Amino acid sequence: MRFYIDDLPVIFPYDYVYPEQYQYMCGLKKSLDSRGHGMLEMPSGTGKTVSLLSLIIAYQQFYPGRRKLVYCSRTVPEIDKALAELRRLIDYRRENGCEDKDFIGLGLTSRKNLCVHPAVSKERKGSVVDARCRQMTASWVRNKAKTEGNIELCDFYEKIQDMEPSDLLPAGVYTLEDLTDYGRANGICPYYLSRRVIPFSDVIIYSFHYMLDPKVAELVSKEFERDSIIVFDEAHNIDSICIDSLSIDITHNTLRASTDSVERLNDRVQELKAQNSEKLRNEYEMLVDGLRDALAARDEDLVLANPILPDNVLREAVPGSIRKAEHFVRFLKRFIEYLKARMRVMHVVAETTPSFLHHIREITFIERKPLRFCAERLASLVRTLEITDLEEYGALAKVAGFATLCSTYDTGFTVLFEPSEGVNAGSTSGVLHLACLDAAIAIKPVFQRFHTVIITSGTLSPMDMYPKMLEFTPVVQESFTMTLARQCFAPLVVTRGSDQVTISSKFEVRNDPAVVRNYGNLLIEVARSVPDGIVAFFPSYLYMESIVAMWNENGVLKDVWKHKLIFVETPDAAETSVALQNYRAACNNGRGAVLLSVARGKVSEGIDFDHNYGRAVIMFGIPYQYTESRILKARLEFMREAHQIRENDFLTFDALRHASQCIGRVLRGKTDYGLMILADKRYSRADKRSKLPRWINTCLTETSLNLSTDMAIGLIRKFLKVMAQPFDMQSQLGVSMWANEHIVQHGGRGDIAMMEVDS
Amino acid sequence: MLLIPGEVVRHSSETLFNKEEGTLFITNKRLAWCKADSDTPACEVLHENFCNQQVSRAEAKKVMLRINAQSPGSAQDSQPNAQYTFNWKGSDKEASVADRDKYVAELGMITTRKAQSQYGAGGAGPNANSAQKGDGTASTAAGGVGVSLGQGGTEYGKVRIGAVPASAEEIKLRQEVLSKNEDLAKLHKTLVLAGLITEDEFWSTRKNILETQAIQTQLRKGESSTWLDLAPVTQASGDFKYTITPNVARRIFREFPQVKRAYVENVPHRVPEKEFWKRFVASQFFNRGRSADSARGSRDAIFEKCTLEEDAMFSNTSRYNLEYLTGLLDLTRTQEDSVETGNGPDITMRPPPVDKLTLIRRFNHHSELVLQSVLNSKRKTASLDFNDVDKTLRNATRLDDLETTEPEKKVKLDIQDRSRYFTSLSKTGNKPQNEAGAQKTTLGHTDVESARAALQISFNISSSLEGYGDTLKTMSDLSRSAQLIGLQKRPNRILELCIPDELSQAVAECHGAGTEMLRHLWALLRLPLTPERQQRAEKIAAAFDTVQQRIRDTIARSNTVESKNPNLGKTVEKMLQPITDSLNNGKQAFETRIKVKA
Repeated sequence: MRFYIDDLPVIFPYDYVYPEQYQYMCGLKKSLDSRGHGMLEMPSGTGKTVSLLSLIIAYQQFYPGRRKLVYCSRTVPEIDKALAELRRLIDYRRENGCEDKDFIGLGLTSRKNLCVHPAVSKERKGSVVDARCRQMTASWVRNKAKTEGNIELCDFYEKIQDMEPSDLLPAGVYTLEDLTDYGRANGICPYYLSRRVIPFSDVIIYSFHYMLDPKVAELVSKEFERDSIIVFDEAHNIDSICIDSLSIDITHNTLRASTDSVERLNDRVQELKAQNSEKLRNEYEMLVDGLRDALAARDEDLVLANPILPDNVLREAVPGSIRKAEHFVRFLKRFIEYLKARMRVMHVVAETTPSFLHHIREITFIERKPLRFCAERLASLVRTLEITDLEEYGALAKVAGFATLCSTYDTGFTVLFEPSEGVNAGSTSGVLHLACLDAAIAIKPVFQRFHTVIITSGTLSPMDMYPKMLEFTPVVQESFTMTLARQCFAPLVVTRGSDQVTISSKFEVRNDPAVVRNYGNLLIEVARSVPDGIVAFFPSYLYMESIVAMWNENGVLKDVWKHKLIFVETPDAAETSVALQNYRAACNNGRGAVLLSVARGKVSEGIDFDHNYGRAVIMFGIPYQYTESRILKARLEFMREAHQIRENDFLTFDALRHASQCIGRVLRGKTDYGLMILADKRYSRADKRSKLPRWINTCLTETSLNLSTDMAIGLIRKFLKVMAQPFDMQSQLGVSMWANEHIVQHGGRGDIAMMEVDS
Repeated sequence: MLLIPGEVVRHSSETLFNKEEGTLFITNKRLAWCKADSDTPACEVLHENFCNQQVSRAEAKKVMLRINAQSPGSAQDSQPNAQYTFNWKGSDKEASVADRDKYVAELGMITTRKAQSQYGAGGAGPNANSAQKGDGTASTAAGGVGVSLGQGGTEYGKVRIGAVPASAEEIKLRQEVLSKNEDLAKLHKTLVLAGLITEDEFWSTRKNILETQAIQTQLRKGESSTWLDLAPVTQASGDFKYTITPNVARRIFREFPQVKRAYVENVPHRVPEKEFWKRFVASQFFNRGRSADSARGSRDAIFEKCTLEEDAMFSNTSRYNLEYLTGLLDLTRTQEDSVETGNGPDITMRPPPVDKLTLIRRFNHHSELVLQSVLNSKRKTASLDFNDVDKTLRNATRLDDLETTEPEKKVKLDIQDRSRYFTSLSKTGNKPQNEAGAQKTTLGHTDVESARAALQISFNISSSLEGYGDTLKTMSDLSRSAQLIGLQKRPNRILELCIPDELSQAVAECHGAGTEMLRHLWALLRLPLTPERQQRAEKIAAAFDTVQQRIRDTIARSNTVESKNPNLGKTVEKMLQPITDSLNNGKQAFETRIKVKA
C-alpha cells in the first residue's frame, strides 16, 4: 500500500498497516525532519523493522541528500532478518514504480560468518579464521609473495584488489547468505567486498559493536557522513553494550601472555635493527610528526571520534620516552611487571583511575602521558614489524588498551583488583578489572557526530532512564501500545502456589523447599495444560542449575517429562543452538517441549518463540543482577552521583527490562498468541509493574495480578480455549489494521496521488 | 462365571472381597471376582489394565493379595487408580498361600508380557531395531525381547476385520474398543453377554469402529519421553533396593553408551552382572547431578572411566554438525560476530561446575534421543538449499495478517454440541448461536409447512429399499426438515424439559438397546426363514420383553423422581413411545411371519 505522511509518499510492502506502525512512522519522520535523536518504543512483533525501513527508505529516496541508513541490531539472525525485510521492501517498491537507482543494501559481519575460502572457512573458531586470513592478505605478505614463490595467498582477496571498488557489487539488497553466494560465484571475498562497498551503499546493517566498540568502529564506521541516520534496534540493552565495549578484564594469564608477546616484540625489534633499521627509523619520524592527519580529519569533521583515542592524544606528538621501539618495549615490560605485582594482593582493592595512576608513578616512575599513547603506539609498532598473527598479541593489546583508558579518563571508570576466591584458586585466580561505569562515554561520539540517532525496541520503559544514562536529549520520545481486535496475549502474575505459599526468587527464600516445589508445580501444571512449546526463564545460571537439580530430585521433572521433552540452555553457544533446533523439532512434531533458559542468557536475546514454538513463557522470579558484584556496586554509586538515579530504581529497571524482554519473546504479530506468566510475588507491586512496557502493563488487570497456581491454570485454560477459535482477521480492519481509507479517517493522507496517476 | 468368548479360566478360588464371600477367577483375559450367589463379576481387572500386585507377608495372619490397576479407559502409562484386596478364607494357611501363589505367578507373567509389548510398541521404528542390534551383544539377559519387537507396532496391520470366526487380533481389538467406549460396553453387556445376539453379529454392524481402532493402534507412537529414573525402594531394614530388569538395563545402555561399553568389557568375565549393577547405582557416575552429599556415591574404577568418557563426549562441541542448523537459531554466528569485550560475568552467570552441567546435558541428550527415535534423523536431510534459507527468513519476518489473502477453502469445525463447548466460557452465549444455526439450515425451505411436507413420505421399512431412488438424499432431506421443524418450534426444548441426567441416560439406554435389537430382528426377517434363524429371531423377540420391562421401569422411575417439570413422567413416556411402538411392530411382524410360514 501507499500513503502519505505530511508530503512524504511512503510505500509500505503490505496491503494494510497497523495503526501503531503508522504512528511509529509519524514519530520517526518527526525525528528525521528535526535532525534530532529519537526514542521509540513499540511492542515486539508488530513489525517494527519493516515500518522503520519503509519510512527511512522513503525518506532517503524522496528528499535530496540521500541520507545513508546505518541500522544496528543485536544478533546476526536479526541482521539477516532485517536484510530480508529490506530486500522485500525494495522489491515491492520496484513493483510500485520506485526506481531506487543504484540502491545497495548489505550487512557486515565477521570473517567467520562470511569466508568462502575452501580451507579457511572450515575452521570452527572465529579467531583462527581471522588469523589465517591475515596470513594470506596482509600487505607485506603479498609484497613478499611477489618476489618469493611459495607463499599462499587468497585468490578471493586478490581478485578484489584488481577491481574498482565501485564495480564490485551490482545494485541490490544482499543478505549475508546472498553475499557469500555472490562471492563464491564470482570468486571474490565477501568479507572484504562488504567493507569496500560501504561508501557506496545506502543501507548498512550490522551489529552494535561495529558502531560502539572503538576498536571496530575505527575500521568500519569512521567515515559515515554527518547526516547519516543511525538506528539502534532492540536497543533496550544499549547501555550494557556501551559499558562492555570499554571495560577490560586482565587475568594472570593475560599478563603471562603479554610478557611473552613483549619478548617476541623485543626479538623482532632487535632482528630488524640488525638487518634493516630503515623501517624503524621511518616509524620514528612518523611518530615525531604525531598523529596529525588523524587530528586534521577529526577537526574537519570527517570522522567519528574514538573514545580510546581522545583529542589531546591527537594534538600532541608521541612522547619521546616511548618513541623508539626498544624503549617502548621496555616501557611495556615495566608496566606489565607492575601489574603483576599489584595482582598479588590478597584483598580487594577498588580505586579510581587517578589514584591508580598516582600509585604507578610512585612505584615505577611511569608518567600518565606515555601511558595514554600506549594503545596507539603498540598498533603502530605492530604495523612496522609486519606482524600478521594479531591473535598472539591480543593479550598485549588488552593491556595497552587498559593503560590508555586508565590514563585518559578521570571519572567514569574504576580499577578493581579482585584476588582469587575460595579454595580452588587454580581456576578462578585473581582478576584486575577496569570497569567502565559511564555508558555515555562510548556512545557520546555517535550522538555528537550524527544528526539523527534512533533508539528503538519493544521494551524501553521507563523511558526517562535512557536519556539520563546515555546523556542525550531526544526530540521525539514515544511509546506505542498494541491495538488488538482480540486480546492475543495474557500476562498473568502468579504470586503463590496452590498451597498459598508465597513464591519469589528473593534471595532469602529462593531455595526454600516450599518455593522450589511451588515453582515446580507451576511448571508441571503449565506443561500439562499448554500445547506445544513452553519457555521458562530463570534469573541466573546459578539459580537455574540449583533449581533444576532440586527438581530432578524431588520428582518435579519426572512429571514434566511425561508431558513434554525438556531442553536446557547451556553456556556453550553451539550446544544451545542444537538444543534449540531440537526444541523446535519437538514443537513441530507435536511432542511439545519445555526450554529452560536464563533471562540474561543468549536465548533471551534474539531467539523468537513465535506461534507453536512458544505458547507460554514463564518467568521464574525477577531477574535482578547479582547485587553483591563489586562492579555493579561501583556503577550504582556512579549513577547515583552523576545521573541522580537511585540504586533501587536502576536495579528494578534493569531486572524488569530483562523480564519484559523474555516474556515478549512469545509474541510475533497479531495472529500469534501466547501466555506470559510472571511468577513472583513482587511483580504484583506497583513499583515493579510500572516499569513494564506500557503495552504489557495495560493488559495487567486486577484479575490477573495476584493469582495462585490453580487460579492461573484456570485462566490459562480459558485463554487457550478462546484463542483456539478461528479468527477472522478481516474483523480487525479499521480497529487494529488500517487500509488507506482508515488513514484518511484518522486525519492522515491516503493514497490520492496514485488514483490521479491511474486516471 | 459368565465368560467372554475365547476366555479360559485358569484358576479359581474362594476368597473374601470387601468382607463378602465369593470366587476369584483368573482367566487368560482378566482377573474377576464374583459374589457367591452371582454369575457376573462384581469386579474385574482386564489384563491390560493390571499394574502390579502386592502380597501379605509370610508371617502375617491373613493371606492376602492386593491388585493395583488402572480403571478402564485411562491412558496407557497413567498411575494405577483402582485397588482391590482379596482375602483367602481357608483355615489352612499354607494351602491358601500356595493357592495364592498361583495367582501371583500368573500375574507376574502378565507384567513381563506387558512390559515387553510396551517396549515393542514404543520403539518399533527402524531406528529402534538398529538399536536393538547394537544391544544384542551387550545384554544377554534381554535376549528374548527382540522377538516381540517386530510385531509390536504392526500387530494389527493385516487384520481382516469381519472374518468369521473372528481372528485373535480382531478379538483383541474388540476388547480394546469396549474398554475405551463405555456406552458401547454397556450395550455389549445387555445384548451379547445376555446372550441375545452373538458376538460376531454385534460387531458385524460396527466394522468401522474396529477399523478406526486398528488404525489408531497402528499409529507409530514415539518413545515415551519419561526420564529414566531409578527410584530405590526402601526396605524394612532401611536399605535401598534397586530393581534392574532387562528393560531398565536397555534404557540405561541407551542413555549412557559409556555404561554399555563398560558392561561389555566387564560382564561377566570380570564382574558378575549383579555386582556390576550394584556398583553402578553406588557410583559417582550414576549419582551425578544430585545435590545431597549423601548421594554423592563412591569412586569406582569402572565408572570413573565412564564419567570421563561422558564429560569428553559432552564437552566436545564439535560433535554437533552446525551446518544443519537453521541460521536463525545459530547462536555461534552472533558469538563470532564481535570480539569479546567487557568484564566477565558475575558469579551467578558463570558457567557452572561440570557436575551440574552434566545433569543439564543429560537432559538435552535424553530429549534428543527421544526425538530422534521419532524423526529418524530426518533433520539431516534438511538441505542447505538456499531457497530454504530464504523461506525461513521470509517466514520469520512476514506479517501475514497485513496481506489480503485468497480465502482458502476451509472445513468448518463441526462441534456436535456447541453449548457444552462454551458453557465454561459463557452461560448466555449458546442461544443466539443455535438460532443462527437454524437460520443457516433453512436452505430453500423457508416456511414450516413446506418443510413438514417433506416428512409426509410413507414407506415400509420391511420391504426392500432398492426401488426408492436416492435413499441418501431422501434421508438427508428428511432429517434436515425434521431438525428445522424442531428448531423452529422450540430451540431449547431439551433444556426446558428439565430431565435429570440419570433419567435421560436411562432413556438413551432404552433407545439404544431397543434399536439394536430391532436392527437384528429386521435383519433376520428380511432373509428367508431357516429354523436356525427362526430360533434366533425368537430369542430376540423374547428379549423384547426385557426391554419393554426396562422402559416401563424407567417411566415408573420418572414418576417418582423430583423435578421442576411436573409432567416428567408423561414426557418420558412420550420420549419412549416411539421405541415401544417399534418394538411392538417388530414383534407383530415377526409373529405374522411365523404364522404365514406355519
